Amino acid sequence: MNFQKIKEWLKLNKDVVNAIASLLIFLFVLTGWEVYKFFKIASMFESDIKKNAYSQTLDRSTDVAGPDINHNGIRDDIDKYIETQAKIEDWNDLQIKAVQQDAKATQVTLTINSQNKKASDDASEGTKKSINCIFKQFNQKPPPSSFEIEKLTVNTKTRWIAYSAYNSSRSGSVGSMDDKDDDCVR
Amino acid sequence: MTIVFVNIIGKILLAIFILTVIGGLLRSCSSPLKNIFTVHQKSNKSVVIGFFNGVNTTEKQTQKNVKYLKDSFADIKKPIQYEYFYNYTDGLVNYNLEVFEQRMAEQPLLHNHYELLFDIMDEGGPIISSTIKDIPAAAGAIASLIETSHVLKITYLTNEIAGKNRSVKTSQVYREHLDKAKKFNKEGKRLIFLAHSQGNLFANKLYESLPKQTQKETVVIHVAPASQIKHGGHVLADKDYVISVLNITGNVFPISVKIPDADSRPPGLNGKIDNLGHGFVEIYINKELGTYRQIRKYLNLALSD
Repeated sequence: MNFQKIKEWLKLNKDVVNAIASLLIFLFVLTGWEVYKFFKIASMFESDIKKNAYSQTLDRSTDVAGPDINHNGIRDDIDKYIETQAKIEDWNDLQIKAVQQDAKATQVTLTINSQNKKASDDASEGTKKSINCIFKQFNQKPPPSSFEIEKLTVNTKTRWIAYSAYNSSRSGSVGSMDDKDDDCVR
Repeated sequence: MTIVFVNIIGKILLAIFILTVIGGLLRSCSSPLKNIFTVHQKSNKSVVIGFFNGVNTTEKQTQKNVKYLKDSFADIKKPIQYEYFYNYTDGLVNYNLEVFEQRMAEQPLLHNHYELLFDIMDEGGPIISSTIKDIPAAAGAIASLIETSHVLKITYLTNEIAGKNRSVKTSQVYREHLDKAKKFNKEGKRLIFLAHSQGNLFANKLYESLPKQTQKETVVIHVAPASQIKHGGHVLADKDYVISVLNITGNVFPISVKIPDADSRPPGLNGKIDNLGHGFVEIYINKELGTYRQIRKYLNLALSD
């Protein structure tokens, strides 16, 4: 009897029922999306903690340059950091290239003879371009992790001394930060 | 018909001739009108904003800061050239390196973890957090290093204000900055100096070395000034714990703006929060804080001058 009444009421209020059903479906999808986002963020955080084990995996050899088996101008442990970070933060190819350009430019500042004015100026131009490129590829909002490379590269006393000598050679310099079309290396 | 046409053309040419003569007279005469004309010329000069970095900053970090500075003023329609006038505090970095090496001898867990030095000098950062997660036993040693680095920074800045850190290298830095500023001036560019922390000492020195006429056209904006002299408006946050400590040891300028406590402070453009309240990007050009609005006010004033 009651079931019959409900059926009749539903028939009479078809529009209301449809509206409520649509609303429920919408809420269900929205909740599902939020739950997905929550787990995605949680998993990113988890990966971030795992990733942070880099302090144990950084190369601490005695030379300034460190190992670069694939000869791409980037130390192998820094290559690995970029690779891991790109996966965690879902960087696209152009963003990965920009961060690699930055890692390479940073490595150059350590390995040049900073007393050589031309080499020092070129290295400075290199970091300037790489910063401009990172800002460009990340739509002016680069993730903080992309700028950790400088710290991770300068991770031994020998490397600090080399980097300090480079920065000392730059003291007094005046430089522009204007964007140029060729900031990103192709 | 032809006569009327020739007559009109003749009158137009005569009017052009008279206006050209009056214009020429105005340009060459030494009356107050000339000054009006000159002021107008000045306001049309292109602008260079020169940024002067604070202590413990690498050139790469300075380049990045200027990029953020440029980004935070991106809505200004006037064409502006952003330049950095770099200075490096070798002495302070070397002190930090020495202390770090000594402490690491006492704390083998941190052996050769020099990547920590950047964050230690910044008194916090992601490398510190991750290292403590990896090596919890190192937390005490890191805290102690931060404390020592803080004392070194304050001592260094106090000596800098008192002029005790001057060296041949410092004079060379001044000279190089001056040469470049003169070059900009020669190119017809007007200078606006935006100096942060210790950078104020370099900006002051450069301003004082400029010819009087160039000084008149130059504006200095002092941000968190670690100096006792100023040549323009200053911006100092009430919770800037680096400059407030300097206030105990040497006179610095009064607080100009209040900012929220560190735990309720919005991150800066670089996504970071600076607990010390002193960071240029985290605090002073953070669009959510009054510090940015004050800098912007001084900048707008300078640009409309």
